[in-house]
Amino acid sequence: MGEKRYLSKLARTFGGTEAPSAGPLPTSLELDTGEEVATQFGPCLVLLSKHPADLSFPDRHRATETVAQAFSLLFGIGPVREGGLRDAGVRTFADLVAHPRYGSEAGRWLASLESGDVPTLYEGVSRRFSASHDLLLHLLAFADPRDLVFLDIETLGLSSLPAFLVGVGHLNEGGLDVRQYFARTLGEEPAVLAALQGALPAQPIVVSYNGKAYDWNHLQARCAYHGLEALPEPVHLDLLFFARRRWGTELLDCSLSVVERAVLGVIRELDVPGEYVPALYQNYLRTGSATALLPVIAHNREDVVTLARLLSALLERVTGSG
Amino acid sequence: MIASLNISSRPGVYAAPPADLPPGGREWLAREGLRLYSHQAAAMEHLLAGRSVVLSTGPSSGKTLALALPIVSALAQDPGATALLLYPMKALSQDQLGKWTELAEALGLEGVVGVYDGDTPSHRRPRLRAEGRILLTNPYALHQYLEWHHRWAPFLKGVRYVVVDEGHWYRGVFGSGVALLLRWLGRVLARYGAEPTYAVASATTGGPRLLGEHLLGRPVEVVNRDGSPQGARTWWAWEPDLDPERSPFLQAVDLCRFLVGAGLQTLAFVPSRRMAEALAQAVKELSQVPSPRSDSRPATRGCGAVASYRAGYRPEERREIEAGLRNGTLRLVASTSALELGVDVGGLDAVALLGYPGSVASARQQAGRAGRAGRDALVVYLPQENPLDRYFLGRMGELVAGEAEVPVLNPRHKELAVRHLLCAAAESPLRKDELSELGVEEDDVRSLERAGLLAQAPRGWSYAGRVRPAEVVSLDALTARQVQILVAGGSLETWDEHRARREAYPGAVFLHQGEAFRVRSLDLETGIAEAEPATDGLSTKVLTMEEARIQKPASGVVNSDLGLGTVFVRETISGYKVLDRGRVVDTRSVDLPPIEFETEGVWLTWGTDSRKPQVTSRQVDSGLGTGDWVSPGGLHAAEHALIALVPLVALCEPGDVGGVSSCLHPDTGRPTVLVYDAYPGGIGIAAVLRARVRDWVARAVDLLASCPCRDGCPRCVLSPRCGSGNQPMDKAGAHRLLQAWLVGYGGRGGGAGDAPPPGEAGPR
Repeated sequence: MGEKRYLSKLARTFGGTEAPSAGPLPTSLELDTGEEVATQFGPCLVLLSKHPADLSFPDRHRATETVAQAFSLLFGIGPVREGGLRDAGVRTFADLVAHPRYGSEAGRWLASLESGDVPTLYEGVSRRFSASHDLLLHLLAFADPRDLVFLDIETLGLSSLPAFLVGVGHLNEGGLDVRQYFARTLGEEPAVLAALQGALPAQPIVVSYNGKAYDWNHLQARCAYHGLEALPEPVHLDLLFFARRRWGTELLDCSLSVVERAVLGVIRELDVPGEYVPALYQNYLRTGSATALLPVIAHNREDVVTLARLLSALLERVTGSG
Repeated sequence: MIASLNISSRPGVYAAPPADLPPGGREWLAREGLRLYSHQAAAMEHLLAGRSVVLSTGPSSGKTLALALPIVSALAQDPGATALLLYPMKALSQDQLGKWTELAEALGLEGVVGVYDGDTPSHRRPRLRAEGRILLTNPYALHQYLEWHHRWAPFLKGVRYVVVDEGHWYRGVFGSGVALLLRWLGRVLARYGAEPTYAVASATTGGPRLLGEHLLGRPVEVVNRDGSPQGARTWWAWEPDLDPERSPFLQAVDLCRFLVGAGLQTLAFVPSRRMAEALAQAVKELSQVPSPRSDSRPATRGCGAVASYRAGYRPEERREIEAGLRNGTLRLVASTSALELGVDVGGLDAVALLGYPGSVASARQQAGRAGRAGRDALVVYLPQENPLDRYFLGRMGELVAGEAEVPVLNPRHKELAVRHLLCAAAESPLRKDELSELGVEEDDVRSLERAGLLAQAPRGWSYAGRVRPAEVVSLDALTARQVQILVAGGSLETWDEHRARREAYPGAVFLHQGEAFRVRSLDLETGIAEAEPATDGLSTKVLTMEEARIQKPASGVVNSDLGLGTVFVRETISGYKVLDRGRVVDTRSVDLPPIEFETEGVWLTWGTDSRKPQVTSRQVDSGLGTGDWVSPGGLHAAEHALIALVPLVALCEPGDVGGVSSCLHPDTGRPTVLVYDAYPGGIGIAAVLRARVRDWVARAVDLLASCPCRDGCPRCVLSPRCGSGNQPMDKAGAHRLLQAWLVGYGGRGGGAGDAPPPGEAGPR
């Protein structure tokens, strides 16, 4: 069998980009507003865009009250005992500090609430309640908004296949800055990951859609693959869980597009269905032309923006301001 | 019965535990009152000193203990250390788990000992990965897990020992795939700072060093002097009755009834799953008929005491049969080679080998099931009608104590290596300096880059495909191109394209779990063959014509009696025979494109002093006759005899090789017999044939001299697969040719033995 036929069969079996373009890397002009960033793993492209964002975080005092009244957070307290305590006039953890059995744990909770130790509070709440519990949203009252990372990634496929676009949103002066790290060749993937690591705060609060199962794990696997340091263990608010809990019964399904249409009234024109994304990227690799990729980049950016808006909608219900 | 051979009992050879054995292990031995056999102590010493080892000894020689004791006691002393154990199939991991768990408990090993494979419930997996000290798995599962190595970090960091059990199982395509998998494993382990010591446990095999080195890709120590005691054993060879009224099957049934009737608990090994069941059924039915002399006894006596055993039974069923053999309630079990592996069934009074199992190693492994402590045992051999079965009828000594075959595997197979390279690239980026060790060159990587499957990143080439390589790279298949065999729209089996071309031509009848199916159509473009059940009892034999051109001799100049190198093969399927119970009833032609591939071949030539064919008697002065002693018929018969005996030298099936013969081969310019590896790219057979060429040719001479027929018969030179209908065929001529070849080869300093071992040399 000829070399060419053999290789093209191999490429088909493993899903390779047949004959990738050897042409010059696309310029930032072609990719709109991007610029090159340097990392210890070489350069990649970053595209910055600014968007309005309107998030009203819960009030710290109210959040402290809410958490401190959730008696079932304390080990050993179920509904019956909670009723008994309430009957005895216990209102919050503060009233329990002297309790022989629950006192020390109640004291620890109060200390964490006082210091606003989000990771510890998050871990405590997650241990007792599901990943879609309102208490987790209340915890944002203690967060530094700069620690929030809205995250969405585009990859060549499920499993541990390369990621070529990582979109992250940060709150900045009342707006949302979206940075998209883009691999112009798959060889730039380590640079994309390194750039992401540089952009993450020490203790990130990741906001994603199905990111617990997918995006974050995927990035973790890719960092391990390239021998980069592991990503920090995040406080993770996966909005898919919240969406299922709030709107799951009313909606056909809880995909991001269905939810954003129903909840935010957003209808995207000319959106790229997720399953075409790998093929479009490979087409770009083959032709070297970034034009066909612009919708993918836009799609990723929109997803990040939607995350912020969706969180805003969820917070409104929690803070009761909406 | 035509031959009987008594092997007297052999006392055990014992040795003191090695000095390095940690106190925990010593104390355990003392507590249990166990003495070590010499081979156990030797293997332990190597492992404790960090030297990789191949332990190749007979059944029930205590191989598991020889590896488990040093490993468990070393792990007990080093809290961070772990061990990975590989078994060729899931059932074996489950069987072995108990032994390892028991020893781990006895030696106070902290942490988890468990099986981690496709059957492991997902909720148990995280704990095994985090706390596992000894994990048992199989190559198929490991192949899927390696890519997720970061989740296994705690375990992988600690790996101090890797055990490959049933090492002789890893041969051919599967063995080559596993050899590559083990290289990728070593690479992943190195990433986590683990440099383990490897142990391969194997049944008695020829070339244990070669097996270990091919499998592990590193130097190994060999321990193969079995120190375990053996009871006396009597071997009988049973001459089959040629009476057409008594089929080989009926004779097998009679033999089993005779053995069981004599009060011997018997294990009968048979070639197929179907025969295992049919034999058990027939013996069961015949035992139910009350015999005239004992009609006062209950007619069902012995009825529940017969069973069959094969792969595919549920684990509970298998456990029950194994227990029945151990406690003696089962008197006869008819089994496929499934009972050859390390399943504990105790010792039997008698083992019946109903047909040659395909290898000396296998025969000895099966025979090893006979013999309970302190009691003599009987092994009965009943040959079937083919050259290999026949060969051993008069040579019981070779079956009992001759050299076993060398398992063939070829981890440098280009196409396999390239596909596995993609798996490795999906585990971590490939560095330039790793390539040659992995059987590929930078050119291959550049090609893969051009196909968009690898991308160059700052720290090496990373995988760039959209499909997980572990999903499409099978450990069992040579190529990724597969053909689905569909029956009534449902998938029956999946074959690789090469096999489909040879065995799924329209009209071909093939067996699936003992049931016959006939191929209706074969479409290689879509990768689909359609078949239907064949109930008429007919079978088919393919007729092929072969051409083989020498591309590149790798060793030995062309101008010599022996060559090894790359050959280009064109096989044309000209037609097939239709057989009714072994009798040819029709020959049909088919029109298929020829199968073309590059592979490895070994060739013998005659005439040394010019490139012209020497058809004179100049060379032969040993009374072999003069005149036209190089004849097409002689070369053709020599080719058939050589091919028939390939499985005696290299551990493989008769269909794994093909051959051509010619009075004037265009590439050697001389009379030539060429035998090639029938797997595209070569799976390692040719190199083994060259390394043991004297042995191989001498056995062929022997077969020709001893076969009682005059002009050639199916037991020596007539092949059912021959595309030219076994014409021309000159048995006596072949004998003269091969003998002369041996004289010529031996006369030039080859007398000391065979060619040097092929090692890793050979065509690319």
